[in-house]
Amino acid sequence: MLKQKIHRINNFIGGGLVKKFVIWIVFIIMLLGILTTIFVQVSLTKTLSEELRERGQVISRNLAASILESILIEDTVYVHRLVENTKKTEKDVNYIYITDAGGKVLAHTFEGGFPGELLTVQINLENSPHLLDTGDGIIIDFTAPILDGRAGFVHIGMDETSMHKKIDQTSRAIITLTLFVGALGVLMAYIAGNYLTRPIRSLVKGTEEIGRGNLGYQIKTDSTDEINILSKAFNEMSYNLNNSINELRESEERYKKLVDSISDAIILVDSQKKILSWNSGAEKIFGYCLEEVAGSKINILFYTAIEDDNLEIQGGENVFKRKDGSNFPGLISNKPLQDRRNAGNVLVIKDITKQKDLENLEARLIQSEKLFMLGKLAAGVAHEINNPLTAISLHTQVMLKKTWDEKTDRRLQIINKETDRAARIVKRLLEFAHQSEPKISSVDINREIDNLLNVLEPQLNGTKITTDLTHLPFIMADREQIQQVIMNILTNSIQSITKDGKISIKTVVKHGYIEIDVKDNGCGISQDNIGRIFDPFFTTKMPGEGTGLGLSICYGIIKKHNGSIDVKSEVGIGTTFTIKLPI
Amino acid sequence: MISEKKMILLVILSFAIISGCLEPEGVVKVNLSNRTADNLDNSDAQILRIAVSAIISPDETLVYYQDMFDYLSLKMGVPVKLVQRKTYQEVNDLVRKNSVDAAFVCSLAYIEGKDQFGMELLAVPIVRGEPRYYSYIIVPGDSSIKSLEELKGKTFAYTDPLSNSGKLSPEYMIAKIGENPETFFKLTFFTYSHDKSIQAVAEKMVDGAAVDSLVWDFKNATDPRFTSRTRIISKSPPYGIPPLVVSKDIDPDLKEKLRKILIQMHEDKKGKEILDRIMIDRFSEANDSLYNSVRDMKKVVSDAKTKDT
Repeated sequence: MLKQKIHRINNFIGGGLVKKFVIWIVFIIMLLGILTTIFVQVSLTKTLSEELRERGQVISRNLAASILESILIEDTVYVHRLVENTKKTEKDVNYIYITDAGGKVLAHTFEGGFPGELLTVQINLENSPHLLDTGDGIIIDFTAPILDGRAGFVHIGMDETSMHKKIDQTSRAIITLTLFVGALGVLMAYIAGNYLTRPIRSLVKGTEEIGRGNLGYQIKTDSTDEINILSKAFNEMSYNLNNSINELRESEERYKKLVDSISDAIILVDSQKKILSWNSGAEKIFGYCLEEVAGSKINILFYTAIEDDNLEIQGGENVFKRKDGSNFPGLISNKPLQDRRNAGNVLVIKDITKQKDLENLEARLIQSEKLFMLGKLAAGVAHEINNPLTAISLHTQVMLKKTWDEKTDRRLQIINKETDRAARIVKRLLEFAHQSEPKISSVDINREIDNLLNVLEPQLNGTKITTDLTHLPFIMADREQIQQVIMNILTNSIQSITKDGKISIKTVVKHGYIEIDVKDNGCGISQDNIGRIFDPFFTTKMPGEGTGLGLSICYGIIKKHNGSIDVKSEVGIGTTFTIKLPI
Repeated sequence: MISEKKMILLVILSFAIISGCLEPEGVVKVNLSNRTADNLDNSDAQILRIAVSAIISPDETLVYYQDMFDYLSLKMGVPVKLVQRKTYQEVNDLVRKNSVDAAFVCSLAYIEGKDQFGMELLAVPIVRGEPRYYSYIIVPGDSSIKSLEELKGKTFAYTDPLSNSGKLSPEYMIAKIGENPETFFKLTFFTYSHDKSIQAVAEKMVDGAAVDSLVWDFKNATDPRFTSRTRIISKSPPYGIPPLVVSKDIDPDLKEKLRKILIQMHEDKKGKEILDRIMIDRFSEANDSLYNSVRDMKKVVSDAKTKDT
């Protein structure tokens, strides 16, 4: 209770220790002063009052004894003299008067007559002494009987004025002294407070220094008291803190180097999947610096955002997005932090672009091999079939020149037609197999595209074709073959479009290559099929509608030109073919 | 909360204590500025004034005669005031100036008063059956002095110049043994009352004193504090007892009334009680011849005093 009070008072005072110290000291001194003044007032009043009363009693009794005979023998001169003398010699006597047994005033010390009111008051009061308020001050009236009252009474009025004056003087002296001591106390308390709080202030400074990061700050101390112990403890703490922090820093440095030396991206995310930290490998892979992504959702790194925040990030292959917007395939692994709070996860993302490329290369190698084998087979078969087909066609021609019944004639016509078709397939097989060497000449790709578009126009069926053709250098290529490739791709695109078709053709020079993008908004190619579209005889068309050789031939032509052909497609959105040809 | 209340209570209490000290209770307001000039007219119109010589000291006299004066007031129907003076002469003067209506005086004072201005006897007290008394010469109880002669060259206390038993009688006794009363003692004092003389001897302030037998006997019977420490070494022949006198100019009716009351006092039950208490049988008519022996002594003493000078 008292403690809370003091605490509240201290809070009320506010300010520093010195201020509190000074205020408390002054408060205590003032309290002491007040208490002393009260005590002195009380005790002095009591003592002096008692003394005054005793004196009054003694004087009145003595006077009664000494005046007795003079009264009885009616020696009024002597009575008056005695009364006057007593008043003169005794201090604090305000008045003396003598009455006889009947209450008649025999002698008094009042100048200019006796105040009659005093007599009436005296009669009413029996006990001696009693107090009279004359307006100028309090008078203690003592009544002493002379010869048991038979000869009269002595009345003496003792003045309290001088007593009060003494008390007032003493009180004033004490108050003055208290104020003086109070002032002195303020000064002393200020000096002492300053002296006592100096080590505390240096402690405060030390704490502030450490707070500012100046670890290992040492306080100077020369005292021998508790403050010294505290200062030493502080210095030790400061030293140890410095050492610990340094060790921690070194350790952190080591771990940072370790983590940064890993080329994979190591990302620390919190439970909200926000990026907390990552290593320099991550910076290299994604192109962001840490400050840019810290606090952002991990989603910004994914090509396809994870919609559900609560969903755990699945380990395995995924496509990631760099700062420049480009994508790359990556392998992600996810491990929850082995932390008490389970605050987040550690994600490790490995860039597997090169692996993917290698896989592609390998796939193409196999493709080439396949095609080569297929070509040989097809060439053999075609050659073998070509001779009988030639014979069948020749004989059918011969027979048609003759006149047959209508039925036979019609049958011959069918044979001729189908033979032609067979011959055409064989021819294409041979084309595919032979992959005939390109006849090189300088070709303007843009002009070829324009020519092709003119030829194709009747077949468009409302499909809009836009072109964005930048100036291209001439390249050395087989014009017919290139025409065939673009024609083939455009035909595929037109065929994939169901309605409101849009095809855009874009040509650009990039890194020593001419790049031709053909983009449509057709039905797209499923992920399952996209790897097989360049395989011979692979077709999504109904049997008899396509040979499945078109894109395979295109692939072969571009390969022969040392170029590349890529496809990106999404089902329902469209497909983009990219052809690259060296300049 | 409690402590706050306590604090307030403490403050109030301390204020109460302080104010209690500064302003005492039961103060009566008195205005001392309304003063009336002293009334110097001291005459008491309807008062009977009776003086008593200081045969015993004034305070003792007051106590001794209080009841009798009250009794006289009752009987006379007017207040009776006791008037005292230090010396016998002053009382005689009061009688002469008619300032008092009556007075108890010493036998010698009566003779002087009668000679000087015709003081008249009113009544005499009868003590132990007769209107007479003696003078005792007393010394301290452990004093070796056994006779008056041995007091020669000592200190001696007289009562009053006009006292018979306290002055004239011892002087007469000294004259009788052929000494001069003026030079017999080394040093003499006047104590102006017999009880004081007894006290002076008892306290050995003086070597001897002459006192009224009535006083010594009364004191010895009522308050023997001092008489027990004194010893009577000589007793005089009987003298006429100190009478109650009046001025010759007194109203005869008043004189008669007063005398009647005194003489009949012992017949009254209350009067008898008062008389018993002061060891007086009764008051009686007085005869001037009662004091002739005192007159003879006075003559002898004055002769003895003048003889040497």
